[in-house]
Amino acid sequence: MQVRPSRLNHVIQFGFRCMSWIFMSTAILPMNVVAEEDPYLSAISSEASKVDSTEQPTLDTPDVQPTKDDGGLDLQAFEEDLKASYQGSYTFYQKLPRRTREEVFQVYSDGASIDEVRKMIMDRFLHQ
Amino acid sequence: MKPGVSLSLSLALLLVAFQSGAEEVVVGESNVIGLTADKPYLHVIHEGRSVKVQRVQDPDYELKGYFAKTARKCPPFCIQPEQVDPSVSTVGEIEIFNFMENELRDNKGIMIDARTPEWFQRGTIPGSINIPFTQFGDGNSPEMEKALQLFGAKRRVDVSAMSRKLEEMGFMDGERKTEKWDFSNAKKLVVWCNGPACGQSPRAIKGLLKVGYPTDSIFYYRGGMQMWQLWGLTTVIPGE
Repeated sequence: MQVRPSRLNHVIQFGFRCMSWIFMSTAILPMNVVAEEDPYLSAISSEASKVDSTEQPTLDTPDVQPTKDDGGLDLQAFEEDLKASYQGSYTFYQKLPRRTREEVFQVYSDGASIDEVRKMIMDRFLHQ
Repeated sequence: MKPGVSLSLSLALLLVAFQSGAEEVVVGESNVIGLTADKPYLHVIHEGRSVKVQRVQDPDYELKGYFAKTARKCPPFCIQPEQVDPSVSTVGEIEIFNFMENELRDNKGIMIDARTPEWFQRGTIPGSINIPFTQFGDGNSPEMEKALQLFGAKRRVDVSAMSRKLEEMGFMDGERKTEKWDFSNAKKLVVWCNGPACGQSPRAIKGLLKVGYPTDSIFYYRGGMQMWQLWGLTTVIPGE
């Protein structure tokens, strides 16, 4: 059986339409999912542009102190911290000889936890 | 140890303890506006530097700028519930101070600024790292996987259905474990964003709950940046 050229064109056109519909559906579907999130993200982004970081209360005077990584020592901050948070440990710490205090600070600077540091202070105090 | 030595040591300790009481600084009686009645300030490590966290000492200071505003368009910036989930604790500033001095210092906890990077770059709470809430959306994304590993979770491989069933029934140790993740060493997380009208950290927390992160290790700081600034607490600009 012979198919007339005009009928063949219709079949081909229909095939293309189907393919383009399938292609569009698969391409648009994920975009819809993203679009749900987009308005929120754009609103967040728009709000962020309204923030002036210089208006933050204590931003201009943060007491940033160098740590060992910066080539400086932070002994004073450590001692102030210990005094403020662990008065008892600080009192024992004060009774230690200077070299032992430096040793304690060294351990602290190397990343020991405050519990380990406090234990070390007591240990050194009892065995000096 | 001999009894005599022990007695002398105890007396020495008592004497030292007595002296420490005498030296105690009473914040309330000085002009210092402290973090708490007995804590004038604290130090926290931020980007490798020790930052002093304190309050503005000027009693006449008034908050200005974005975080002084009382209203934002709602939706999307609507007032959030006190709790993100009944199983997740909401915390305030005092708990944050304690967290900074303990879990953060001992590397057992992480403070997460869950806002998008453009917010983070404009100022953050010292000690926080930026993991935007968008990274918690898909439990299987590489970003989420990386974040969970940073939090101390371990990926589980080849867990048979039988093993999982036995874990669920309590015959095997399945506590703090899911099919995909072992949260045995999961760190405590304080998750925060812009404040009571911000939905970014609640979304991050919901993402964490979805992958089975232990609820007793997640803490929601609802006050966020707005309350932090209202109390005149120190903020830092990342990279500066």
